[in-house]
Amino acid sequence: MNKREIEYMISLVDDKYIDELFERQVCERRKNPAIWFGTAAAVLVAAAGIGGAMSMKDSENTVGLQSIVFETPFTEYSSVMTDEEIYTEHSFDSLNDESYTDYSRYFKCDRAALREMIDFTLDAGGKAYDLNGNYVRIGDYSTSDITVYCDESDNAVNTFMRIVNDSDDDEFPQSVNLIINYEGNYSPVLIAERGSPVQWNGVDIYGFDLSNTITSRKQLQAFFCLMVLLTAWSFTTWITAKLWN
Amino acid sequence: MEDNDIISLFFERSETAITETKKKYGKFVFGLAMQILHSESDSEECENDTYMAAWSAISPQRPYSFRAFLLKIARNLALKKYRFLNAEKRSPKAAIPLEELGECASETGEDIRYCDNELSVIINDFLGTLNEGNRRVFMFRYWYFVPINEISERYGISRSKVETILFRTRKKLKKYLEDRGVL
Repeated sequence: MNKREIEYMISLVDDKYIDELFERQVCERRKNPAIWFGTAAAVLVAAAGIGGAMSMKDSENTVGLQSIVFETPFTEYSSVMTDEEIYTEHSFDSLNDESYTDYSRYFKCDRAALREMIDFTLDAGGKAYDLNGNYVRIGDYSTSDITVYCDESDNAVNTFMRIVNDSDDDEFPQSVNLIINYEGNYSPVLIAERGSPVQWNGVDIYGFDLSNTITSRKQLQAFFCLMVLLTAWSFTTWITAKLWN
Repeated sequence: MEDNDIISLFFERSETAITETKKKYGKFVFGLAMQILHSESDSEECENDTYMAAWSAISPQRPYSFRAFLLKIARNLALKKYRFLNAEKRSPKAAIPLEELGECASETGEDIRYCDNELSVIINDFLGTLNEGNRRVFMFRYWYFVPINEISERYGISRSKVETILFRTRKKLKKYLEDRGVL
């Protein structure tokens, strides 16, 4: 088969593969048999979480960092959203054929504002649009670049949004990317450890997680208390046994 | 307007069919032509030719996907025009990504003829072996001719990762063709 035939062969792809290019790409739940990978990943995430919690500063609104980089569309998210927050309960990395579970992140969000923002961006032609950083706020972050992807009927399917930290506080990562679907559900795209940015469009992107770190800290404190108690109990038992004998 | 309604307008030979098609799929058709021709005027011409070709080609058997039907026509017309413009350097254009597929071809360059059905089965079976993410990247690059930078931006992955995916997929295609005895 020569080059010309290969080129011609590519033109004979099924319609379904052409349509696939325009289909929704995020927030799809997908079952995966690699549950063991998920479990292993969850353990690693938990370990990373403890490590991260230990390195946090003891201040209100401290940002919890995660060490795993997620990318789309190779990673799919299943997200749950309440009126004020969003969390990812499951994600699947199809590139590496691995499943991650029990991994949650929280963001504050105003669903109506999000919807309005997408409409507004559509009016601007559905292209990347600078909203001057003040249109929507998520925690201490406000919107920056937004790209809306539409289906053939011009309905927004999802949008790629970058939010930036406008508090000038070096304690916080500078920006994060999110994928949002039109129903208002959204998921973080890139999560990276502070100090190891991910490059996006030539810009350093720092991922972050607005988890309620007070809860994490309390859990950590409880864990250490338990360890201290266990050590004390072991020591007491050992001493008692020695004295008894 | 729904695709079925537009197709019905084609069957009725109503000129509204063209207007509605342009309204719904114009940007896709024009966008694809632009990826190949890199010229607004040539792409507009290609878009209009696509509607005319669809007008003549639409068969009583409705297409499985009207959008794919249109895009296939647009792609063929744009490639034809691209080759015409490049044949005698009438208008030098950027090379299209199909050149990259040359590495999957037979080294002897022998011309063995395969019928459309055979080729169609081969490529679709191959695409079926890819995972969705890699397939999208492959299709965007070699079917829709999207530049690597845009694919990287669209998916939020690095340029080198896109190149790696494409390289591995081309290698896989070559091996697939060898295993099927067509290379």
